[in-house]
Amino acid sequence: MTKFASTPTDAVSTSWVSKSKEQRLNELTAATLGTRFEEFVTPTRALDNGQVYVSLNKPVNASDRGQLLLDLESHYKNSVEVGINLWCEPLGDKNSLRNLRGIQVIS
Amino acid sequence: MSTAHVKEIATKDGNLILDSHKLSHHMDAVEAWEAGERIAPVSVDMALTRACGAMCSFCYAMVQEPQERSSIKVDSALALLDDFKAIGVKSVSLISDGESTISKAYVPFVQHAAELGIDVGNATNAWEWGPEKIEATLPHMTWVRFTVAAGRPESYAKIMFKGPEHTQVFDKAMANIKYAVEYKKKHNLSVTLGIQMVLMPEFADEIIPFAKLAVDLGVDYGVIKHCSDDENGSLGVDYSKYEQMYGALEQAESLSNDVTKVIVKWEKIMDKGVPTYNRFYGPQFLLQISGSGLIAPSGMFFNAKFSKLHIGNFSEERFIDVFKSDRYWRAMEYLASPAFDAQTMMGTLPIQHYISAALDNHIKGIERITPASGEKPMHVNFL
Repeated sequence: MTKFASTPTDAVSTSWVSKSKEQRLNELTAATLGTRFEEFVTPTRALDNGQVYVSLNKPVNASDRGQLLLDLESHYKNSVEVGINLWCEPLGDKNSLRNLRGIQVIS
Repeated sequence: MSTAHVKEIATKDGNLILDSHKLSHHMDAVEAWEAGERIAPVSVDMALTRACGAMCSFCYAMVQEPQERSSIKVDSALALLDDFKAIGVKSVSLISDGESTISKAYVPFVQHAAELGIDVGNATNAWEWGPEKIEATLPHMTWVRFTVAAGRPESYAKIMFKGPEHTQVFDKAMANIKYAVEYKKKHNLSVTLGIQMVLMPEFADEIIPFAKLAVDLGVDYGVIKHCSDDENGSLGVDYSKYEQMYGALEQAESLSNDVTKVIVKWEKIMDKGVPTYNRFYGPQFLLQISGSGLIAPSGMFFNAKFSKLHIGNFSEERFIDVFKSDRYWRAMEYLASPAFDAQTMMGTLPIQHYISAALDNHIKGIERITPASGEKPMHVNFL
C-alpha cells in the first residue's frame, strides 16, 4: 500500500482539456449507457482538471455507494479519461443554527 | 521568530504532545502497516450526533453534511465500543462533527469505554456538560478539551453563537469548566483539562485574552490551532495571514506557568494549509466516524461529495463487519493510490495530518520513525 508514495497523481490528457464541457458530459453519459451505473447516477459537470461530478438518481446506502462510485470512477478512467476524479454533488449543512452563518460549500 | 518549536511540553503531570504524533510508541502498528498488513486503527475519532447548539464560525461540520443522518442509539454506540475492543482500538476521541455531550448515548458510551479499557477523550463546548454529566464521566476520561473561541465574553458569543450580546453561553461554559477543574482537584483525577482556540486570522485580537483565560481558569493547557478549510476554501480561511500573528502567538506561549501551559500548534499553522504528502495513509491508524453514523476514512470525506469513500454506517451494521470487509480496505488503498492527491482533493490539515506526514516521510526515507525510548508521553494512545 506504500508503493505509490512518490508516484505522480493521475493527470488529465490534453485531449480531455481541449474538449468542451458538453462533449465531456456526452462521453461520460455514453460510457454508462447499458451499464449498471446508468440506473444510479447522472453526470452533471466535467471540469478541465478532470473533476467529474455526478448526482445520485436514488438513495444508495452507505455500505454500497462507495463501491458503486469507485467502480464507476474506474470505469470512466478505463473508458474515457485516466485523469478523471469522480465526486458527487456536495450537500450543504442541514443544521439550521449553523446555517445562519450562510456558508455555502464551494465545488 | 524562532522556528525550532518544542514538540513535547513538560507539564506537572508528564510530557504533553499536541503539535506532533506518537507513532514511535506504536511501532507494532507501523511495522505491520509497512509490511502490508491490514491493521486496526490505534485510535478512532467520532461523534455521537451531528447536532450542536453552537454555531461557531470556524466549524468544519458546516462542510461535512453526508448523504443521510442516522440517529445513534445507545445500544449501537455500546456495540461499536465492543467491536473496537475486539479489533484492538486503543482510544476513542469524541470530537468529529457534532456535540457528543448532548447525545443520550454520551454518558453510557464514556463509561462503557472505560470498562473495556479503551481510553476516551472529549472535545466539547461544555454548554450542556453540567455537574451531573461531569461527575458521571470525568473520572473515566483521559482528557477533555473545551472549545473556547475567544477570551472575552462578547467575542466568544459572536464567534460561537448568535452575536456579542449573548454572553450567557460564555458564562455557562466557564461555570462548567471551573466545576470540572475543581472536581478534578478535589478527586485527584488524572484527566487532563484544556481549552482550545481555533484561530482564524480575524480573531488575532483574541490570542492574548484566550491565553490569559486559560491561566485564570487553571486548566492544564490552552492550545491555539489553525482553522481547517475544505479543498475549495468554503470557510474562507486566508492562510497567508497567519504569519502576521506569529508574534502574538509567541507572546501567548510566554504566559505559561507551572499549572497551565499555553501551546501553539506551530507545525499546522506554519504549513499554511498545504501538506507535504500526496498519498493519505493516516486514516489506517486514526479512523474517523461521523455523528451521522457514517464510517469514512477521514472527516475530510464526510460530505456527500466524497460518497465514493463512504464505507458504511455503524447504526445499520456492525463496525467489525465493516472493518473486515473489502470495501473498508478498498477505500484505504484508494487514498494510497495515484488516483488520490491529498494536496488538492481534500480539506486542509486533517486530524490525521501529523501521522500522515510522518508515515510519508518514513516510507520515502526522509525521516524514519524509530521506537520511542524513555517515559511514555501523556495520552499515548491518542496519536
